[in-house]
Amino acid sequence: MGADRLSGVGLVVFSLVFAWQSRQLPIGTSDAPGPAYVPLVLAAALFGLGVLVASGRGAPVVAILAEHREAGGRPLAILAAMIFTAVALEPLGYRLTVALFLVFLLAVVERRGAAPSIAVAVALAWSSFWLLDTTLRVTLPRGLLGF
Amino acid sequence: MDAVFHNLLLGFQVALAPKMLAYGFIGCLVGTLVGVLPGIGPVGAVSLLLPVTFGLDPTGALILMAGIYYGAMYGGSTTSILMRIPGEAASVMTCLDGYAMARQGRAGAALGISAFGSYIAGTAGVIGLMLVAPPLARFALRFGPPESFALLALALVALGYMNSGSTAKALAMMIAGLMLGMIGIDPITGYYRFTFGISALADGIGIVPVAVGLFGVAEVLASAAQATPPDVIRAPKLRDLFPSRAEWRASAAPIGRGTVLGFLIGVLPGPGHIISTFVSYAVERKMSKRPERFGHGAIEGVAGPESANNAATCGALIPMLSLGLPSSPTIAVIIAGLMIHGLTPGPLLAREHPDLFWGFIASMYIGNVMLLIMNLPLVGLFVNVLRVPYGILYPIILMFCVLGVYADNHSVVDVGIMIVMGVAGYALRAFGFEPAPVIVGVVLAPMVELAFRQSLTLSGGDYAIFVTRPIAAVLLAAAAIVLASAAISGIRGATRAGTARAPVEEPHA
Repeated sequence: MGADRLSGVGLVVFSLVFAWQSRQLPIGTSDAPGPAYVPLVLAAALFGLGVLVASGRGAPVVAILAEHREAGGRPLAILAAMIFTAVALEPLGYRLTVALFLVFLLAVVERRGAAPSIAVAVALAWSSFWLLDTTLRVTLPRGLLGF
Repeated sequence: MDAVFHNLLLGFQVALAPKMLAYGFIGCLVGTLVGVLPGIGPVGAVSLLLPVTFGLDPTGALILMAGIYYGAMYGGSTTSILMRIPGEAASVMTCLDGYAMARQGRAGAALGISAFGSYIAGTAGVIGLMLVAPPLARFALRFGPPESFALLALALVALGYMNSGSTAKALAMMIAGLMLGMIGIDPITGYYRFTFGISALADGIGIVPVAVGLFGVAEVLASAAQATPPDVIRAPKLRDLFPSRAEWRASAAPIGRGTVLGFLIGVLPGPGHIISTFVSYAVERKMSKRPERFGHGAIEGVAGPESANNAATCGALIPMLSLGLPSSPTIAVIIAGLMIHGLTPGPLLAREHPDLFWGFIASMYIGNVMLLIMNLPLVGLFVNVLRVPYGILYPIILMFCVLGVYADNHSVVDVGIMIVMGVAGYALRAFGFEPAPVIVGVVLAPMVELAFRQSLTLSGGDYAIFVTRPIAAVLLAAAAIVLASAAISGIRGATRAGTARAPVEEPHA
């Protein structure tokens, strides 16, 4: 299957899901368009463009997937670390979360050595907190432990 | 004209006072430094520092706020070029070629042309602001909802057509962006749309998490997916910080076009400084003899948008100074600051407070010179970031992504959106889609929808309103022509590809 075909199908599915979600909202009339009016017009336009994109070929999907499989787990590890950050930011606080995030990426994923990784992580987490929260008064989460 | 020069002289007398020079310098410096931080754009910078201006006299307050405003615009390009993190949406287009130039060891030239282009456009914009403010402001007032909708439709279609790849794919991405922009409370009826019960989505999807995800996070994921990590970039020598003669030649026309486009777009209501960068980039790519260089380190792709967003900053001040209308959220904050000082921006401002009005105009000339002098040495400092090995640099980039996105709205949901957008951006790249049109869609969605629905309400549901009003009709006709020419070139391309394939396919038949 070609990449364009697959992505075209993806766009069609996205437009259908969007249209399906719009059904809960009033469409209104043309003299008083409701909140679903424009979303439905957009969904119809995306459906048409999805069909158009799907009519192309593009590189084989298998080749694209194989190319990205060679990279191994590095992107996945980064992604996992980012998800952890989003989940832990408020309960653990900015400084602790960011320090753990950086230690994981530097020491575990990039194998830069535990001691320098911890030093860099702590320095960056605390200094960026000082710059934004303390100096510029942009409130950052402190978490349950005050970090 | 004599009156203008007399007033300008008065303005320079005010702005060259040591105290005002100090306010201008502090504003530019703080704006640049805050603008470098991803997520804190001009609105954030001016809002954060607004309380500082309360104790100042009105002229000093205005000069300080304006300095922060265009300093932040200036600083936003640095992270775009060095790390591919757009400090704010207006820097998105700079990411494309600026970052590619940095990876080729030309970060100095990219930052240099960005500084010079911004200076030239900023100065030209101030001259434009001084000479043509009243007539342009009157013209902008003729834009009702149908005209605004027609202009936005033309911008969307033209940007899709001017994209390097498939027009259908670019338009699909733009519509996907418009759909994302529909998320949140409906501005007319108050209905919650597509929020899936998440209250943090009620205000809609922010531009910062989308831009940082699609560019910053996606870039890190794509680099991590490569078998060999990107090389450490040689930090340039001082002489390399200045664009070469060839780079100047290539950039001169884009700077000129970006300045004119940015200034005119900036006058219109809406996020002109963002839209102008997209339009400028699209125009430069279309006008280039070798458009395939765009996205791979074309200096025109940096010079045009950087000039456009600075010229738009000046253009955006026209409705504020001559009509008292905010054309962007940052301008609204500046107006609020002036009102706190008991001043009402509008047509009477120049007459009742000539020292403030012309002092402000003169301070912008001086501010542009200050920014250039300040930024060139900083370029040398910033490029040292590229000396850091990528394995150490990317965790720091991601930390700034998280920090910037969270700081923008104090929402962990925004961090989640950024991650989702990062994955989407990575997938889009793999499948040959450009992510920039998604951002155009998200930025324009609220304006497009509001203008469309207000037009229909105004006409009692009659679609003829879009063709019976002259400005709207001309703009929509232009959009239709662009769409038709895109369709014709698409059909021609498909026919040519079919003809070229035919002899190869025959032996297999």
